[in-house]
Amino acid sequence: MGQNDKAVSNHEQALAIRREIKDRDGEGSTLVSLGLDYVDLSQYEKAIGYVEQSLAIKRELKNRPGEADALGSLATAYQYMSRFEKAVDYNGQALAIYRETQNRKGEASVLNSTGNAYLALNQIDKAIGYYQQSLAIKRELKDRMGEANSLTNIGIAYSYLGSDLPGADPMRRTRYEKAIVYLEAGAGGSA
Amino acid sequence: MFMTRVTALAFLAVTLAAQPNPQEHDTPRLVQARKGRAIQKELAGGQSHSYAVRLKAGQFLRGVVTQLGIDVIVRLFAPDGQSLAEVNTIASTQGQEALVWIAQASGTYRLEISAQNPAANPGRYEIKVAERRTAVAEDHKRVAAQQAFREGQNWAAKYDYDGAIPARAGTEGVQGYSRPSWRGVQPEQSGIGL
Repeated sequence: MGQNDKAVSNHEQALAIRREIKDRDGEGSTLVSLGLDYVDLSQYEKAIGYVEQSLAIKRELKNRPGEADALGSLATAYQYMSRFEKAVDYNGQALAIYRETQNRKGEASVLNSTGNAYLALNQIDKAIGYYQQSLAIKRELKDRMGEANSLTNIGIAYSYLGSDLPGADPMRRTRYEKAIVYLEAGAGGSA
Repeated sequence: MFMTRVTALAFLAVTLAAQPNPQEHDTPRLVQARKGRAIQKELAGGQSHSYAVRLKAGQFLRGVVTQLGIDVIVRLFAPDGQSLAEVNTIASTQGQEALVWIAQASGTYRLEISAQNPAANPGRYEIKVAERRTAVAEDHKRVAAQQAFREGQNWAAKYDYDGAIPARAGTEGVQGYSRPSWRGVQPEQSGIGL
């Protein structure tokens, strides 16, 4: 049994108990974990099914943080399915709740995820903007690993910008240089 | 209702082992806590606070930590120091973490509160023994669910990251897209204890 299967097995066990003892909020939390397990297993439709159940429970219980987590998890599943517009949409809904509930860590993560979606949609400037917002929060939170990730992402985004430009364009070199600065900073864990 | 069955005899010994503050290190002080009485403290990255809770064999404990500006991990240790349970259900500096357990032996158990991020800015939290009473059948299920959930999170955590290397659609597939940082840390604000 692989690690993913073990995660599924444990979460299914927790889900069964929580349903039995009518722990609705725990059920919702476990459902979203199961959904993410199935994302890991590349079973995206199944993943979405579980997370949508979670979302319904969290909304029913008016658990705003839980609702945001479910929305963000749906965005993740859609991202993996290459349905980037849907990912942007769900990320946007999650972002609003994270801001409302002052969950800065969730906000940073979903901003990063939105950047990823825009990068995939070839909207590089927008992607960089989201990565920069995520980076600012991670620095504020002193999340060094997250900071390194954001710097790396910004570097990659700049490298895409550079590669899209004609070779003779001096802007290209500028952007590549920027990319290298960010990538080096990301690898070193600092800017 | 579980909230009405809590004994009023909860006894907490607080050991503040805040490493960055030598004045708090190894200077335990006892705090008597009554049922539902909350203790509020400031905590920063790299610090941990320990609370001793006396339990009799067969007693059910539900400790609740409300995050008021810092994301915490809550752990429970047996009288012999063995790690029993850990909860970190909300990846946020707000919200509640609840840990449940049924004592197998009488003695002094230790609830440890530590910052999730070793470099976190200082923030406050509030801890209280929400329930301490004779365990009923359903409590065993609560503990089993908590442990199964935690085990699942541990396995899933091996895949956690925050999107370090995004890919471009149509070139590198979808490998490397961000996974939520809340992975493994879903809120657990159940009305029935977990």
